[in-house]
Amino acid sequence: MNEFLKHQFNITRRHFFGKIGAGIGGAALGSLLIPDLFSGSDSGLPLPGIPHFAPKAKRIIYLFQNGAPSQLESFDYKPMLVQRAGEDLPASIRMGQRLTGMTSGQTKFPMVGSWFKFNQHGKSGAWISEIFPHIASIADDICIIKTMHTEAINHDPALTFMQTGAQQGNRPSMGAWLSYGLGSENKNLPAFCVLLSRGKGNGQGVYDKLWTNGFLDSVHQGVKFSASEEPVLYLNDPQGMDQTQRREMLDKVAELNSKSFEDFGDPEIKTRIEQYELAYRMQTSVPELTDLSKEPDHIIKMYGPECLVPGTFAANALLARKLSESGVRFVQLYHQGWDQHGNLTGEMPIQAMDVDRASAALVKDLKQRGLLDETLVIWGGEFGRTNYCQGNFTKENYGRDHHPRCYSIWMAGGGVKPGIVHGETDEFGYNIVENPVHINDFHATILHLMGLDHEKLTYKHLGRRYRLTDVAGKVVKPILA
Amino acid sequence: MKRFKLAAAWFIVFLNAALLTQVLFHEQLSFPLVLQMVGRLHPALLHLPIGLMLLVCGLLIFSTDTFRSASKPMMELLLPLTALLTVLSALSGLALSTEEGYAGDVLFRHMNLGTALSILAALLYFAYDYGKFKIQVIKGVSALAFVVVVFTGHYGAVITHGEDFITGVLKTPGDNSGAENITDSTTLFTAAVMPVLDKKCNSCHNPSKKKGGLDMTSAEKLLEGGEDGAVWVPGKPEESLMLQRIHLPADNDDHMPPTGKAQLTKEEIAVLRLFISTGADVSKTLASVEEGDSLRWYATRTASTSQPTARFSNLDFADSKTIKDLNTPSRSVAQLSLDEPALLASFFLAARFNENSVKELSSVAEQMVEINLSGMPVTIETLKQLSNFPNLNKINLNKTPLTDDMLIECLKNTPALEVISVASTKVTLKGLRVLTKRNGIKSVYCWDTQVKPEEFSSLRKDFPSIEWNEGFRPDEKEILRLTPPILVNENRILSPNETIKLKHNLPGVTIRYLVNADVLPDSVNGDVYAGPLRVTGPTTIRARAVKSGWKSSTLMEASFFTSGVKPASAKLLTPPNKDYRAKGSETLIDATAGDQENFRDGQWLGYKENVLSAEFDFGEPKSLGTVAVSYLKNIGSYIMPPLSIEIWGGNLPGQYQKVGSLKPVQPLKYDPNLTEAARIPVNAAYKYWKVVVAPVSKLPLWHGGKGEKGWVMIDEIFFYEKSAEPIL
Repeated sequence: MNEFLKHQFNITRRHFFGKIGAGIGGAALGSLLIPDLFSGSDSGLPLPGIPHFAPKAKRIIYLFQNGAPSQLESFDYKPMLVQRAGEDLPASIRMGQRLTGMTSGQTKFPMVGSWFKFNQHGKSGAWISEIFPHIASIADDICIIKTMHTEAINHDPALTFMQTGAQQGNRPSMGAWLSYGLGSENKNLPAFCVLLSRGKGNGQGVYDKLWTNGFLDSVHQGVKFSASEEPVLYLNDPQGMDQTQRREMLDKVAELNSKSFEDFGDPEIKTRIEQYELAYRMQTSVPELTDLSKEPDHIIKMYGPECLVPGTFAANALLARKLSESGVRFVQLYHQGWDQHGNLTGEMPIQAMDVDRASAALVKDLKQRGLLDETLVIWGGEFGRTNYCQGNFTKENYGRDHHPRCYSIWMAGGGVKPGIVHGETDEFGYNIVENPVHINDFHATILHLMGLDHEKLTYKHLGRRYRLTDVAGKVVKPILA
Repeated sequence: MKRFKLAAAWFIVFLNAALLTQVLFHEQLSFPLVLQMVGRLHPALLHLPIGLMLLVCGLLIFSTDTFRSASKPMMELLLPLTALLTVLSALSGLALSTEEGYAGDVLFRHMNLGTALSILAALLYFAYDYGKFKIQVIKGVSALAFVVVVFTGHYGAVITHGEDFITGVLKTPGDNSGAENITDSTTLFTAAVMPVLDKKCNSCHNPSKKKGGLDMTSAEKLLEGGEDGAVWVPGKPEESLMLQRIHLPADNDDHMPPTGKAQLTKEEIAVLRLFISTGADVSKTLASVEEGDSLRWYATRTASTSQPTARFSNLDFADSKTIKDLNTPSRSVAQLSLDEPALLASFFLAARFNENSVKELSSVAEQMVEINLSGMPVTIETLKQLSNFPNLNKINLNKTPLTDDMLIECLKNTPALEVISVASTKVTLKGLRVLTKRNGIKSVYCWDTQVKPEEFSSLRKDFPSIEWNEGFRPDEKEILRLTPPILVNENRILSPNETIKLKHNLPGVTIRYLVNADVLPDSVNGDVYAGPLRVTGPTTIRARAVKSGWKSSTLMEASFFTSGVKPASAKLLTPPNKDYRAKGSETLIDATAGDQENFRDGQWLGYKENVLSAEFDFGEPKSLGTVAVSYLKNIGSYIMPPLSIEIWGGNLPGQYQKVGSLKPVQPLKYDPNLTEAARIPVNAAYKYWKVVVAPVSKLPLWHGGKGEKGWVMIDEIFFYEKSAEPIL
């Protein structure tokens, strides 16, 4: 609907209801049944929630490794760095790369190789570090991209870029775009859920702006689950109130809110009505998902016993599988503690131990349920880490600073070619030599896998149309199955 | 027999006469409406005369004299039958052609040839029956009829299936002409407009079907227009018939594309509109417009994005209102994509599932390609309903009460099924064996079923073309470490009557614990946790989870404090570090614990440069048994246990005697963050009490900051009377 017509429609309706003062319930009902009836939807989709073309993936589980795990100790094997450890990084390789405040004072950039051994795994012979033995065991199911690159050099802008396609805030995050473009599959759960966990390594913040709806309707905002025994708080009915009373109360509140909406036309009021309805339905749908007492032994052994401890990465991975299986479009995990500026040799194995078993288990678990084909799993951080050590080179330990020019992530299932390694970095592990994948390309590819054309999924805001990929991005075709 | 032959002969003559009249004078005559119904029989009838005609002609052409005389009675029956069926087919075809949407050269040829064929068939019958013609003549007519049959049939097939129906299989999927090989000399029409027309219009508006007299397969034909005139008025999209038709309401009979066919997207409409409004010049090339031109951009993009091939595109679109109505909170029905009519259905909320849940989908049965029944209480009746879905390709029956018998039922009538998930069900080898007996199954997900590992190896060996996903089986030899017991309490300062609660989520785990002990609990030592613990005074609890078949957990350790005697006032004698002043002296006696994971939360007093020295005034001499100091250990952040703690007492300010001291155990490696309790026995009575806590002067050699000064962080100091000594 164009804005002019929408405006006219609004005025007429307001007058109409203002005069007769009746039929408000009917209007409320209408907006509940057809969520897009009154919204400013301009998605380029003639019908809401239908992909542009047949999707490969119906859902996404994004295992975000917050703080940026080092690619050089995980998936990007650089034996030369071990041989030339302690030598200064040639300026011809660094090529004036912008430095963070933490290493900008350094006069020397002594290269350092991985303390951890690498072995080849799977049919593709992918090199994977020894601290990720379980991920190595699914080498044939994953696609490692070694050539991700970004523009930001600090956590906050890099995280924001990774999640929203822009370094500055206020843009909708990936999950919100998907909720907007595809709607929710299961109306009893939010389309976009966020699960947080924290490892023992040096951590960086996770902010609510990372799952923001930005300028999209706030129904698309990510719902953050609590890292406790009760992932969604206050789901029980208050004492002395039963379901019928609850229902009646919600109906009355919705009626009042609808009246208010008719008067003011603020779409946020409509969102509020929808959120109340969703919360009501979540009273039934959530308890069965978060009940850990019924997990069979083989699932516990697969994800590891931590999966029974709420708030751990393993518990979140298991919950993510259950949410995804129940039709949640986008489940985003954040695991903090990957910012190894120092004591990398001590912290990284501990961090890896937190996530390795459960990440691999999630892929295997989806696969054995026949869901991996339709679920895209993504694992990775916001940027890479430098091939030189932060501070002086010592033989005992080292740390690495932020590096935007290359880093490794992996994806599995959902229409991604399994068992391949995409892209190549130079032997210093500093620059990309083949098949770079920019964040915009990454986003374009993800939308493509979900059946959306990243150039068509737009939203008009402040006089221009916005996209997740803004004005860039190309689908990375070689990784499509 | 004779009467039958006579009747048949007259009938053939009469019908052929009617046919000829209709063909020759159809401009003047109108076809009776009732007879139009006969037209719909054409597709059913037409194959019979083709077969008979080919048979009869073949026999006549290639037969020997002996065979001919032997087969005479048979031929006398076959020939009139052929002639009769041929004329009936021709007549029904003629009736069909009067319906809307049939026009064009191909139809004209098919019609004329069909009429000719009918007359030939009649001639052949009479020529043979009267026996006065030489066999060569009969053979000649037969040969002619043979050729005519082939051509008539061919043109008929072109009308129904399209020009390149047979060779179509050789083309690569997703091939859309015009969108490929875009160069600067390609016209905008070919590159931008034609792909839209190919996709949404040309299945009806082509030379063979030519609905509404319109052929949209080339620029020239398009410019000729249709029955209602020109397709567009250059520069005037509002007056252009094509756009008018597109914009009519969907329920209008003249709306294009008709209901049930793929509709144009907003973008496609925009392309057509833009092309017309900019002059509809079919000869304009890409090079002739500037780089940023919208049509040019669209053309190049259309060529560069190859979209995934549609698998189920040959179905009709289900009505969008029907789809919307089928969506409820417990059932989602969604179209595969904008261009594909296939539908997917998922069910949620087991409590809402009933026999009608699946049955109600029968209105869109044809389009249904995927059904997800995971976790639903399906019954054999539910699965019987699946036979209504002829195109069902993928089904998820995980976590359902599925049995072998139910699985067999589900497979009976689902010819298009390729992927089936039966994980976490009671299905056995017997059920899976049934899957192997039918064609088309590609993947079976059968983890967590009753099928044994060795049975899988035999299935895999016998049926290698099917992907058998048996899933994860725990390695019996791998022994995992249990997680430590979970501490339920949130606050380390217990309120009166509050208990310490532990738990573990793994069934069958034993928790062994020890309180205020120097030894650690293990799988045999320590008390077995049986319920909440009531404690007094400062309490350190250490616990482990134990279970056979698992490694014992690492140690869970926590310190608790009950509130002791609160001093009247407190005073810091040395200033804390300026960044960790918290609430000053009040911090130590406010009965609020600091966050173990966040030493910046304003509850921790931090000292590095100075020794912490604080004075507590009880107003009158107070007899105390124990003083407890709650300190933080966060080794990575240089926060160590205190080097030493001293307790001094006196009855005049500034005049103290040392009454107790303690040197807490220093860590030997990077231990996890922990709040610890130092308990110092004092057993004395004083009005003023002074507590002195010294930070470590040098971090140990194994520490990253070896040699530097360490921190000490204190959130609370407790004073207990003798009677409140820790007991259990």
